[in-house]
Amino acid sequence: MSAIVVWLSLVLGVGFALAYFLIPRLRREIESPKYVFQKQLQQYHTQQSKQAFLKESSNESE
Amino acid sequence: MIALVLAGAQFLPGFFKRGFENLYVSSWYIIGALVFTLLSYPMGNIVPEFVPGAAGAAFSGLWIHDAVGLFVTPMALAILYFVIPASTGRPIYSHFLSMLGFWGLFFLYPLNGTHHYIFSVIPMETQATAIAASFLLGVVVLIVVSNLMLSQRGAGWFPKEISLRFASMAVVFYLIVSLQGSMQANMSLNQLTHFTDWVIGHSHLAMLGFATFASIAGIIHAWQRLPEMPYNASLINLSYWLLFVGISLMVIDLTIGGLVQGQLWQSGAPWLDSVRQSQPYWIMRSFSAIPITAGFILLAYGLVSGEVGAGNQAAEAGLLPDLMSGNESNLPHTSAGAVRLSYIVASVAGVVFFVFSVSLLGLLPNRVLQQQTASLAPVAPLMLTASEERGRGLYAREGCAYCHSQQVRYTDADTARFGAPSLAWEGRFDYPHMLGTRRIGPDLARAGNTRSKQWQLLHLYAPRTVVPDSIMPGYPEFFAGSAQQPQREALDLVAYIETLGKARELAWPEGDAAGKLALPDDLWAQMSFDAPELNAHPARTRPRGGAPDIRPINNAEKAAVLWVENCVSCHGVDGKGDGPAAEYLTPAPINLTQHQYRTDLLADILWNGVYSSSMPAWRDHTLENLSALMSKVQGLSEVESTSEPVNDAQLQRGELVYQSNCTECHGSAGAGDGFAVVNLPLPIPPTDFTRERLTLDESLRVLQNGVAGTSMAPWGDRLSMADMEAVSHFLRSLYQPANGGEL
Repeated sequence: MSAIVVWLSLVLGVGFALAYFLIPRLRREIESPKYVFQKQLQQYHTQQSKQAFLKESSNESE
Repeated sequence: MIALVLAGAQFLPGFFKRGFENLYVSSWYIIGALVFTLLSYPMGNIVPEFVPGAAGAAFSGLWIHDAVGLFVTPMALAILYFVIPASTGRPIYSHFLSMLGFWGLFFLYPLNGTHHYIFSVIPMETQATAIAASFLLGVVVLIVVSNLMLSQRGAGWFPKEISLRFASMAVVFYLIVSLQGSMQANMSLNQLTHFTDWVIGHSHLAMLGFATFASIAGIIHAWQRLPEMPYNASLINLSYWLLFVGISLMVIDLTIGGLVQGQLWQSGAPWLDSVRQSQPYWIMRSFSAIPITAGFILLAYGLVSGEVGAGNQAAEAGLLPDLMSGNESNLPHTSAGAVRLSYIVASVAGVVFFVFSVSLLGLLPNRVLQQQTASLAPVAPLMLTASEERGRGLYAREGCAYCHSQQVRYTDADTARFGAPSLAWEGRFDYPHMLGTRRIGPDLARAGNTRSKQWQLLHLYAPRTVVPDSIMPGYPEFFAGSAQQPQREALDLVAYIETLGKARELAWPEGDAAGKLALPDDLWAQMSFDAPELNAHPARTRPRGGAPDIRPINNAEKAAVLWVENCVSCHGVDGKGDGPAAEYLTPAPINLTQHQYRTDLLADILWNGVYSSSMPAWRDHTLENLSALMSKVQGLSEVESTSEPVNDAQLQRGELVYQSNCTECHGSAGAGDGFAVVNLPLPIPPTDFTRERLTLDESLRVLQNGVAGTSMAPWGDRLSMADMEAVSHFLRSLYQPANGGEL
C-alpha cells in the first residue's frame, strides 16, 4: 500500500509539472490568479484611498 | 464544529457571489479546509463510537491529524498566501508551486493519521503507508515553504513590516514543525519520543507557533487597513519578540524534556524517575507562559492604543518595488466551460483522495483487526458489569486518557515494562477506544490485578499519600471525607481499572498458546505471544521465588533518598509502620523496627512484594538500589538488641502450643508452608519463622490481636499469656541465620 501512495504521489506530481511546463496556455492559466489577486488588491486600496480622501475633504468643508 | 460553521458562514457566500473564476490559492485552501473537515470530522468523533478498540483508533487517527492538517494548516496557509503578497505589494513567486503544494497536502495529509499509532496493533502495512505519506508530506512542505520564502524575496530575512514578519516566522515554524512531524514518523525516533513531551512541543509549535503567528499576521494586516483604527507599532513589535521568545523557549524545553523522558523509559528506570526528571522542564515550560501571555496582552493593547492611521502608514512603508508592471499579459481569458471542467475534476479528485485515505487507513485495518479478533478472542466474552461500565465512563469523563495510555506497544521497552503487547481482541468492547497518545503516568492496559484495591482507592483519594512524587490530581470528591469512605464513583472507577487486562489474563496461558497456533503468520501477534510476561508491571506482587541474589550494601546516602521516595509513605520516617498511608491499608504496613528479615527473604520481598497485599514489588529498581534499601531495612531492626533470655521449659511449652495451633498454616518447621496455606481465604503467605524474627513484644501483640487483612486470627481469647509468651520464644528460636550468622 505504501508503494501505491509513493508511486501515485510521484505520478500525479510529475504529471502536473509536465503539463505545466509543456502547455503554455495551461501555464498562463495556472499563474494568472496571482496577478488577478494582486490587481484586485491594488484596486481595493485605490478605492479605499479615494474614499478616505473624499471623507477628509467633506470634513474640511464642514 | 462551531469554528467550522463560522468559517463556512464567513467564506462561502463570498465564493458564490464572486464566482470561481481565477481562484487564488488562498481560496483553494479555504474551500479544501471546509470540505475535508466536514468529511473527516465524523471519522474521529462518530465512527469510534461504533467501531471498537484499535480499529476505532485507526479512524480517530485520521481525525487527530486531519483536524490540524486539513483545517488549521490550510486556513493558516490561506492567510500566509494572502498576507505575504499583500504586504509586499508583489505577487507570490509561483502559483504553480502553490497548487502543487495544495494538491500534495490534500492528497497526503489524510494518509498520515495512523502515524499516531505506530507500534500499535494496527496492521504494519497501514502503519507503513502512514510513514511513507508522512515522509512525502515533508517534501510537499518544502515546496510550499520554498514558494512562500521566495515570495518574500527582497523583504530580507527579517522583514521590517510587522505583519510580514509574523508571516515570515510562521513560515519558518511551519518548516520546522513539518519536518519534525516527518521525522517523528520514523520508527526509530518514534520509539524514543512517542508519548513524551517532545510531541507536546511539536503540537505547540504547530498551533501556538505556526498557526498563531499566521493568524496574528492576518489580524495585523487587516487592522492596519481599517480606517479610523488606532495602532501602536512599538507595542506590537514588542509583542512579536515576547511571543517568539516564549514559544521558542517552550518548544525547545519540551523537546529536550521529551528526549529525557524517552531515554528513561527505554532504560527501564522506575516510572517516577521520568516524572522527577521532567519537573525542571515542566517548571521552565510554565515560565515560558509568562512572555507568551505578556505577548498576547501587548498585542491586544497595541491594536487598541496608539495613533489613529498609524497602521496604514506602517503598512505602506513595508511595500516593496512593484513587479506587476508588464505582467498583465499573463491574464488569459478563461472560458466558463474550462473553469467548470477544472472544478469538476478537482472536486472528484478531492473526494477520491478522501475515500482513498479512509479505505487505506480505516476500512482495511478494520478488516484485518476483525479477522485477528475472530481468530484469537475467547469464545465467552468477558463483559463489563454495570459498575465497571460506569467506571469506564468516569475514566473518559475525567480525562484519565490524557495522561495514561491503554496500549502496550510492540517495542522492547514497552514489553519489558508493561508486558505482552496489546492484541486487537483485548479492546473489542471498547466503544470508543482509550488507547491514548500521551503518557505522563504509566500505561494502564494491564493495570488490573496489579495493586490492591485499598491502594487504588487511597491513590485515587490522595495520590501523594502512597506515591510521594506523584503529580496525579486527587479525586476526593469521589469519597465521603476519607479514603475509607469511597462513594460509588470511586468504587466504579477502581472496578473499571481492575478490568484492564483481565480478559487476557483469565485466558492465559492456554489462550495465548492456542492463539499462537491459530495465527502462525501474524508476526505482530506472535511477538505478543512470545513476550516473557503477560503482565510485567514492576510493582505487581508475585508468589515467593525467583528473586536475584541481592546482598545488603551500606550506602546511607542513596538509601536515605530511596527510603523517602518509596517507603516513608507506608512505613513512616523511622520504619515503624506509621506512614501517612498506614491507617488506610489492611494489612497495615510492617513496623520494621520489630522485625528481622534474613537476607534471602528480604530480597524476595523487595523483588516480589508481598503477594496480594499493598506491599508492592520494586523490580524496576536496580540491584544496587535494592541492596542499599536492604541495608537500610535491616539497620532499622531492633530484634537483636531486644533479645531476652529464655529457658528450656519455656521453649518446650511453646513448642507444644505451636504444634497444637500453628502448624496448619506455618508448617511443622515454622517455614510458613503448612498444609492449609493453599486454602487460605486471603492468599497472603503466613510468616516464615525460619527467615523472619519478631521482637517478643511484637509477637505478643500479633498473637493477641491477629493481623487484620490476613488469615492470622487473634489468639488472645484462646491462649493464656504464659502460652503466648512461650510460643513467642519458641518462634524466635526457629530463626535460622544463613551462613552461620548472616542476617
